[in-house]
Amino acid sequence: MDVDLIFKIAAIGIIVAVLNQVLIRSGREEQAMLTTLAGLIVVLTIIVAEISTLFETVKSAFGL
Amino acid sequence: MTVWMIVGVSVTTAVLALTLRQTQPAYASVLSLAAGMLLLGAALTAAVPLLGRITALFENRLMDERYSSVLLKALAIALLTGTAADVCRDAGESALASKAEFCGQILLLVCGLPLFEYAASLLESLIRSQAVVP
Repeated sequence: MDVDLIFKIAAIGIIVAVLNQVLIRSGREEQAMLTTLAGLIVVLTIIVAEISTLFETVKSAFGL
Repeated sequence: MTVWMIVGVSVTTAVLALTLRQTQPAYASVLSLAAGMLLLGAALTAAVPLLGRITALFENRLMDERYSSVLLKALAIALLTGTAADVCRDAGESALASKAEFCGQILLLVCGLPLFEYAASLLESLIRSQAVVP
């Protein structure tokens, strides 16, 4: 649960955006969409791990 | 959790999300969700003495001790479903946000059922002790 989480996700987003543009401009649109999807799956995996950490924090903080 | 952390995280995330939203709106939504969770976690960790005080008030026989957990559970449910609904709304899915909020309200009602029954029984005993049946 660190501030680095924000920068990780933002960095992945920017890299995917750049790769997307490069692949679209070179005519490979299917690969561009696959790259976007792959990055999205990676980011969602990171977020799900953080959501479970948040749930543990909520449970311990509220004593439930 | 300091004020600088709150300001820094929220403003930086807003700017980054704005940059990402034009080309990759999905990433912007996930980014804002991540920052929201971070701030929520920091707030809850900082609120632990507050919650300890509330639990202590209950332990001083203000009310039955079972009901302090009802209160805290309701707060947690409201916070988390509110966050989920906000993220959906920011992503443009306001129908989904309404459903998430509705689920949260149902969960709140179910969670608060023992408290309602306690209040109802209290009211009933009050009425019965005071009632003059004509």
